[in-house]
Amino acid sequence: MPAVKFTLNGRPQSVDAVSAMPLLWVLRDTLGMTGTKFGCGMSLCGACTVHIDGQPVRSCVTPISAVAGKKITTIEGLSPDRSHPVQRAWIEEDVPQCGYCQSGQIMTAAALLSKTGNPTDADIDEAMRNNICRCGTYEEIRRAIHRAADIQRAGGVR
Amino acid sequence: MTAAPLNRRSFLRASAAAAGGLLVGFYIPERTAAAAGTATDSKLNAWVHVGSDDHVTLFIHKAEMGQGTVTSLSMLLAEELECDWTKIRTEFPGVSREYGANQGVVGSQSIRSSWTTLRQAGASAREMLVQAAAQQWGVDKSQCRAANSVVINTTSNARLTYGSLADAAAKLPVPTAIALKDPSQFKIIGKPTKRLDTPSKVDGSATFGIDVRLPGMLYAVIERCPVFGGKVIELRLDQSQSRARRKGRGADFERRRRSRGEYLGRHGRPPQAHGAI
Repeated sequence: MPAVKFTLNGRPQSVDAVSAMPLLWVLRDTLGMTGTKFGCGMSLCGACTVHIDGQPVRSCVTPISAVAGKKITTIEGLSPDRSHPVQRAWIEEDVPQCGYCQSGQIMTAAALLSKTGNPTDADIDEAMRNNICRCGTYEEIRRAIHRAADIQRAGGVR
Repeated sequence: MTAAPLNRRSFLRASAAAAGGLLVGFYIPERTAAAAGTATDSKLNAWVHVGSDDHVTLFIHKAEMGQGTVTSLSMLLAEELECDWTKIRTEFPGVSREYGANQGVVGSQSIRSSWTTLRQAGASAREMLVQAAAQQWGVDKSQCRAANSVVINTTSNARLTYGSLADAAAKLPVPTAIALKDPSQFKIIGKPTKRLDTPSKVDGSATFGIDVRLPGMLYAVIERCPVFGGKVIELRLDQSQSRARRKGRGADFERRRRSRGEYLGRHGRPPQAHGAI
């Protein structure tokens, strides 16, 4: 098991793990970062979404060997104090119910806003359609993304 | 205003908390108030703590499952306690038979069973804080009123924060009859209120069942037969257990992948392994 080195939430990280071990379980079990959730284990639900070099990626099907040298951001690293526009908007709109899918929802939304500063409803639906919420918070999510775009344009953090 | 006399089923007890402040313990019946006649002894199963730092903590044995239970229960408390909503927080004391057989949150049972008790607990704590302020000022408590985590002397306009009164209040007896608000006076109950659990659900810090780590904990996964009507023909339990013990915590993925029984479907051949884990 060679050590895999990557950048995690801005800090260098080295992990000893079998190369096929999914990033999700490295984060949750090896590193104890449980904010990223296991939902389906098959890239179907989006609960495990993290950013790899800024792209939203399903960590449950990403082998640890594939992230060597890359920059990973998890929900814990999105901001130090819930100040990311998406997090602020999520609080203002009271989006979560049970909250289990929300780390993945937030990471996907943050990736959308980093590319598309003023997304339309259609942009949002397209970007978010593979993040499933069993509580059905889709309306709140859409409202919160519009609000996050407003916060971002008004000069919110990042 | 209705005075609700305390009885053994709506039991409150106050004490000084180990870390300072006022701690009021009370009993929330398992069933709704109407059905609570069969409740047995009055074990305390919920507590409210007013800290010397002004924070109010509700320790309550109800899990937050997404319905907003801890927020709505806190609203019942805060309505009578007259505390600053931004200074309230909740803690889940854990799972114990002491709290009753059902710690679940279903069918609005939490609200129905806590409706009177939580308001009484809030009113008791408030009355004790008001009494402590009245004693400090040397006035009758009818000259004092509570609002937004502060007791106000209505004659002199002097103010004392809950935090500064909590230790003194903890030394006072619990009031024996408590006047609860008429619903027309409600300021929090029935009004849109921000959920208390949202911040922890936007930064990954909320603890879900899957996030709990216990010493020596192993993982179990239900392996479902992929073929309708299939039967287990062999379960390599010894093998998988020995693997589970031999492998360390970091190898959960491998353990999960390997420790499955073999199935034989109706068509007489083992199904292909399915899924990544």
